[in-house]
Amino acid sequence: MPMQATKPRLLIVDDELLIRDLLYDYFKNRDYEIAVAESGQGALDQVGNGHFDTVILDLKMPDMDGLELADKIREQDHDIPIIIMTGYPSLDSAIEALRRRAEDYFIKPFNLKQMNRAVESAVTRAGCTVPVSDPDATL
Amino acid sequence: MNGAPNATLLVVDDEQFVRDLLEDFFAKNGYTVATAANGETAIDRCRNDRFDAALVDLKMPDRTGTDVLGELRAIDPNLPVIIMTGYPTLDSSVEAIRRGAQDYVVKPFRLQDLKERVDRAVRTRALTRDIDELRNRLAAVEDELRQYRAQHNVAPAFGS
Repeated sequence: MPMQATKPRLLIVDDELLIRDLLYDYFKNRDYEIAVAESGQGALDQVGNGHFDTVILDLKMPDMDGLELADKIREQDHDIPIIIMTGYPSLDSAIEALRRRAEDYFIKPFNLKQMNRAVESAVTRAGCTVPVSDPDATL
Repeated sequence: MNGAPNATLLVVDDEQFVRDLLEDFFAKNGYTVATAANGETAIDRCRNDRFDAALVDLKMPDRTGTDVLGELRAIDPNLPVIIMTGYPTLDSSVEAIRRGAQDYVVKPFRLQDLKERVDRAVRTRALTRDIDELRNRLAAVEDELRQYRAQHNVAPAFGS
């Protein structure tokens, strides 16, 4: 059996269960290793306990603003690629995301294929090999 | 010392008034400044010279600032590009994120604020260059070590 490359590790942070489940299922099918967090503090605990190749995080959570969370994650891992998603887009938050070197800024509801492309580009930049996508899993 | 002495800056704007203003201001602050009145000229300048940062207006007659941003970074992937606009929109700011802009500033801006952002961009670029150089040196040392081990038949200290 050939040696398997290590799976890229994704952290998905959203207080909405539906979004967490949707992204979890989608990327699990694409052979990523995934952790989920439903709060800013939960995300920080996950980042403190292990390395991630990309974080996808929601801007609006009950305990913490997503931009503040991005700053705190970067304090622990300076170069980790961060993809922002939000149901409440604004010019100000997009500019702040840009200044925090976000990889991308997705407005909900977003296209999963576009999210997949953004994640592939982010994990590649983080030095991972993109898993072979399941061609049947189109959404 | 604020910013980087002798840093080079490319200013891209179709308004002569803005080009003159920024050229004058940054030259007085120790930058070597080149200007371009459109996207095509900016791309030519970037092909021929190395810049430490670029200020690019979003709205130009021949192409959008985000297109210029994409082309400049295709030529020099580490070039920090700051987008300037008098017409900020969510779409263009998201596009700027996707194309790897360093910053997005809304006109009218205070020159001192802009300078702080350009200074920061130049410092970041210099640090990135230092990190790349250190990584390359580390890789070279690891290579030598591997060769030494192979020649002298020394087992690595840790499993690899």
